[in-house]
Amino acid sequence: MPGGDFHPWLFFILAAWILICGLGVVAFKKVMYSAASMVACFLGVAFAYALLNAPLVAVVQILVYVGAISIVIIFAIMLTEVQDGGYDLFFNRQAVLAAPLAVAAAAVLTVVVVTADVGQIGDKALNPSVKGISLLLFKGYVFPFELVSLVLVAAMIGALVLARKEEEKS
Amino acid sequence: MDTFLAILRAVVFVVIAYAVVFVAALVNIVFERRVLAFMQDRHGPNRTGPHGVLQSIADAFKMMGKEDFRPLLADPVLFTLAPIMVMIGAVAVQLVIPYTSGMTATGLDVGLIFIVAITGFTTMAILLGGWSSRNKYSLVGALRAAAQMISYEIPMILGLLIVAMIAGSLRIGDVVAAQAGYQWIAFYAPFTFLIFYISSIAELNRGPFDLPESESELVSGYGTEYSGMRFGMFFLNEYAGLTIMSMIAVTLFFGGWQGPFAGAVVFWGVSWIGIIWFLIKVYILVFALVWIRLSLPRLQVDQLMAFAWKILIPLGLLNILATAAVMLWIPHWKLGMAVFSWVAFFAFVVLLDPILKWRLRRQRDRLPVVNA
Repeated sequence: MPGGDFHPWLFFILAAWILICGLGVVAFKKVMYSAASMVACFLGVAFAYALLNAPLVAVVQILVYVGAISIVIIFAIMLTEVQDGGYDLFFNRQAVLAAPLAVAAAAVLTVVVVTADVGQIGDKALNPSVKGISLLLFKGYVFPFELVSLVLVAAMIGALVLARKEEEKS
Repeated sequence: MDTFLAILRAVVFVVIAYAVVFVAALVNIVFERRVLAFMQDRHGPNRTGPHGVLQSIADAFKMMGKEDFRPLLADPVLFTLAPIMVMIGAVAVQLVIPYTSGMTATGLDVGLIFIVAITGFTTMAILLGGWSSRNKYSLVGALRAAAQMISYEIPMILGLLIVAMIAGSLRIGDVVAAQAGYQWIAFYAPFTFLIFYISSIAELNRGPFDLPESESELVSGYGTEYSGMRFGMFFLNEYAGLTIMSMIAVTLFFGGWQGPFAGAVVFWGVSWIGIIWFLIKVYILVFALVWIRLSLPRLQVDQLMAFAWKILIPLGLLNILATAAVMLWIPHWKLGMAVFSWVAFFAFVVLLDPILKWRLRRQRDRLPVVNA
């Protein structure tokens, strides 16, 4: 079985973990707790990938999301956070507007997931090894891959330009 | 039954990994204190047990007996969580390291990336610990530690990439196998090893890169508010880190457990002489780390960052380019790489000092002149 041979309950526990941590990100009033909860959520997703026999994706998930993105976010919180201020401002302002939208989005997603014909697992999905993924990345999808990196470079340069301008003004 | 055996195996390896962390930390503390004392021509701890070898155990009991103190304003959850997280990194990274042939917890086929990914835990634990202490020294120490560890992770990865290119695999077992017959990677890619080793010292937050906890500026950095066993966790991680980082270096660059007669005594599918070779190599590197700490003065923050971003990373990238070119176009690429890498190695060693001094002089000249 290509999906890995694990007990289904393991997946449910993991899914609950991811969901609870995801809710924690939204619900915690302390920004740092939200960040920590997000780290836990990312870890849960990494475990899910590991269960699905995709160790490369799992490890890259930890490397990129836990090791890089979360650390940068925590870094930013540490540098900017005011210790004794109200956080209420960030929450509940547009709850009335957001709630129906969220419910609608959830409904659409549910309908899509239930009705969709997922079909059989393709040949390419059966080879989640490093070799399989790198062949896909560097043979089949070189152009999109490079394009994405170009977008990232553009974003980085944009961020630098914005940051510099602000510095000159002040 | 198979499931049971698999679980048992996992438990055994996790216990071994924890044991390595504790024993290595205790041994390394005494080892470092004795070696430093020897190099400074003094006695060092020599009262507890023969030659003071039991000193760490006494220190450990002292530390465990201390009051578990938490500052009033410290964040209760994260303050507790950080020391626990710091242990995860130290333990988990060992799960891909072959202590000897047939003694690896998991032959993960992305072991090299796993090593890098797990280091992120330590960085995050230090950040959270420093933040939750509500103390300016802790905060600045944590920021310094994180900035340093993120910056030096890049040259370290650039070094690991070359190992992956040479071995043709990300699996650690394959890297060790690629070094069979004493063709250790450090012999024909010494420059790569140098870049890796320098950045691994920075990853460990050790001298000369020990700014995150420089006593003269920051009390003791991110660990300032920690005491008792919580401080002990950070301390354990730091000293066990010496051994663990050396284990990684030995596995990737010095042939791992391989050595003369490594295959002689094998039972339970494990080469027991391999463990001895592995430990000997690891402790030679640990000794080098202690030596380096004693010999070199601490860097400034700007020097630290400039060294990573302006020297190590460009050199690492050039090294990858050159290595790839050699592997692609030169028929006896190991010989070609040895020539190129040793030349780069000596050029780096010889030129580094004048270049750094020149940078320092230029910075000094740019300072505004103050008229008294």
